[in-house]
Amino acid sequence: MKAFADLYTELEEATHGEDKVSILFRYFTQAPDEDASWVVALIKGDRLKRSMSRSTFLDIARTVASLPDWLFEASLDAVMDQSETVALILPEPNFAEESTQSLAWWIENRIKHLPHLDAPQKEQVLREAWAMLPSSQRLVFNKLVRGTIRLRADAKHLISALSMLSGVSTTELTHRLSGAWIPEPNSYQALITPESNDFLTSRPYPFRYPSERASDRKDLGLVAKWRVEWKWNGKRAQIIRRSGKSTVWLKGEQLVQDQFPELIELGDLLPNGCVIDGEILAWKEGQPESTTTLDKRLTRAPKPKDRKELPITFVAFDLLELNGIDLRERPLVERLSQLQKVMDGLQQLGADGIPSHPGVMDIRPNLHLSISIGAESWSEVSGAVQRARDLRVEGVIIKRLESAYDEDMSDWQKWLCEPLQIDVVLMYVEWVGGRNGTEECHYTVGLWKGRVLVPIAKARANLSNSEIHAINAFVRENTLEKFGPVRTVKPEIVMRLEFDAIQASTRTKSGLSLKGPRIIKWHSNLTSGDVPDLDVLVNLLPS
Amino acid sequence: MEELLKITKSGLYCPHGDFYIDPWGKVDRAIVTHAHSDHARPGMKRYLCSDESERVLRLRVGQNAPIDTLPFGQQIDINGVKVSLHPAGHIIGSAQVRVEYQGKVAVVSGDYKTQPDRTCTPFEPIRCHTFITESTFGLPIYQWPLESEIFSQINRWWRQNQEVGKTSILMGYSLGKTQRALSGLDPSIGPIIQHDAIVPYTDAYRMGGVDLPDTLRFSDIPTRFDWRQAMIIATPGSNAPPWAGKVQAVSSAFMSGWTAVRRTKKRGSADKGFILSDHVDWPSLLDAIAETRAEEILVTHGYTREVVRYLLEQGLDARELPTHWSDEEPKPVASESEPADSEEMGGPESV
Repeated sequence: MKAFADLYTELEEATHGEDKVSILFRYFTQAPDEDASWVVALIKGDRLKRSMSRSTFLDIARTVASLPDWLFEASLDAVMDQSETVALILPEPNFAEESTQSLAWWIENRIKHLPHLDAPQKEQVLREAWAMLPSSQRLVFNKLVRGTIRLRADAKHLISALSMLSGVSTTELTHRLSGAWIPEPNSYQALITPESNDFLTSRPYPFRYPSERASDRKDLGLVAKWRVEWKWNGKRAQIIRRSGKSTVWLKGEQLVQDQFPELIELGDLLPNGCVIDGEILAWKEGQPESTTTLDKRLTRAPKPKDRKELPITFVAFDLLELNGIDLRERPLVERLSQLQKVMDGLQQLGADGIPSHPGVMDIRPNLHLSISIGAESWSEVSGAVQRARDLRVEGVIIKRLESAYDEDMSDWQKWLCEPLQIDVVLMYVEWVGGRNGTEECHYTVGLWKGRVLVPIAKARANLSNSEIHAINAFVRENTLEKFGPVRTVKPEIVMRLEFDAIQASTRTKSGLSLKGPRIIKWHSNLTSGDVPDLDVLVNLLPS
Repeated sequence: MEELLKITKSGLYCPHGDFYIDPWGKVDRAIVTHAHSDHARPGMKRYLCSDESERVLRLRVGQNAPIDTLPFGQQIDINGVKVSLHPAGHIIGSAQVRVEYQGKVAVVSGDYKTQPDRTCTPFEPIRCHTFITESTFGLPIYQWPLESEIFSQINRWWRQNQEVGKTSILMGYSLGKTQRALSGLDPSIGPIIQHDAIVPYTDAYRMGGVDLPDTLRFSDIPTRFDWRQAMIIATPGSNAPPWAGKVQAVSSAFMSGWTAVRRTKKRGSADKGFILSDHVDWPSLLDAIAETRAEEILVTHGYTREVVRYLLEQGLDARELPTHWSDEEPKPVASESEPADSEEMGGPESV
């Protein structure tokens, strides 16, 4: 446990990524596999579940420390961290009593049992641990018990360190590490062993993303060298069929088969050793629905009613693996033709008669194939971007037909539609603090609905420092009400709000939800009377 | 107590003896416990300190200041009040002041610690009726690790920095802390360089017979020098340190009792903290108080309220004594950038 406690402290102290990598490297060179495997789990973010409630933990600590309650509280106030306070207030163990057990031993043989013990047994386990562990180890022990441990390193640091150690490439490690991790010695051994195959089941490939900025038109060459598709506004996902099992992964390594049983049913129709890349969308009557609808589905496993009322589809646009063969190095054009064949095999005849969105081909319920928009020149592509909002997409995405599925961003680019703009009036300001003395605020802005102002968005301001100072000075002078960090301001400041998309919402007062709102201008010459009615915004909703 | 020692505008005053102890106003006669600036201020007409303290006190209040000295344990009479100085173990020459009048004894501890420290004479418990104690670290969360453990941590950190080609910069208060740190460094690891501001104090320690490893002065370092092996001892808080531009990659550390708590660990630009304190921690504070067998405990600078309440609950007569003394390393403000787990902060929790 000592090595782990040192690792925790050193990572917390390190400020540079390269230092974190060398700290991890040093740790892994000496750590037993069972400990290393837990460290991988903790950095990946698979938090150990809380084994004890805060009140039970603190009650036991109070008993063991036998200090007056007020002094225990004063200590908590000074430290502002319960695990740490308890680690600090107890006496150090005698050297002879010090534990030499490993991290894994403490987790497997003590911490994991805690939830199943009765109160006196719980106290017994903690007493014993606290008597055997020096303060720095008590700290990590307590945080493990409470499920609040966080190692200050991310997957990138972890992968670099493991790659230095094992010689396995970082790409391979990324792949091996994506998906669920079982903190066992074997997992760690397999992770760092060259050419092991145990990892292939259920693991998604690292998603590739388009670059944010489109490159210069003249650098792109002929439009015929590119695949141009609509840019869907949903959740990026991979459907994986391997070893007779189907899984669905979102980007950010989130497994979502429970939320989307439809997609598991689709996966079960795929040939073994097949991975499809695409986008999950809320989808009704052949058209994409708002992302808020999709968000409802993401929070829980659906009831039969949900599947009916909040239908979804998977829009497939790439094929990463077929018959167990990794296709990522093949050119896109070849992957697409393979994808088409897979889709042909799933095609269900007998459409329901409703014309679907022009960007897709109907394959079967809950499955669509993204198709080319068929532009023959770059100006046609630009024209398509103009129409994107009406088609309920974000813009277009262009992919070089000869490109591999790798990290070269210039081969995938997104062209998003121009943002929308509207003049709004400032209603509330929330101080969220700021670094380096800057004032960081969230501004809530609104529009008139009759004679009442209705908030429509909370946004940050992309304004100059002097403008922000001037606005904040006005706010301080004209605060009508304070509620915590939020001030209600006299509605006199008019600003220009920019946003990427708008959709209906049942969760907001205005009935609208704006995507990516930001304040881009302060109209110091306008007053709240110059701000339009909410209807103007409502009219922008996609029909 | 009122007749033996009392707080006046200028400081802690003994009316019968007509002298002050560590006064903050300008007075005729000042007994100084130790040479830190909140206890030893310039401008007194006459000073009294321990003979071990004289050199460092002169650095603080002036080479020609009128300073009388007294060896530890020797008693003198000041206007009928018996006065003697006894080691406090805080820094070189630091003393507790024992004051006796008509059979009543009061001890002013100044700043003190009971942990071993070979750069100063160890703390000696004195029986008394009234004990005036500091309470800088008067909470049970402050329990110092062994000095030997901290020194081996520092030396290990130095070696690790060498392995990755970084210069180590160890920061601490110029008088006391840095000399104590020097006493624990292993000079076989590499060259030890002192920031110029520290040199006079270290020289005073050496002249006082404290054996410290050889050091180089920063401004004496030749232009071509392998900084990557070096340990620089420095004071904290300089915004443009003199090594900026000379030394490429550095790792810096700060030594203080405050570094025991994570949220107050990071000081300025320091990468690391070492728990090395010259004040009593919680268990030693209670032990020290018990050993004086004092009937009355007066608690000054630090967690006074908490220590007083605790002592009262233990059945002791204790109260706060308001002074202008403070810790020479003021408590750092917790960094705001440090994200804290909301659950750990004590927000509501659903079970």
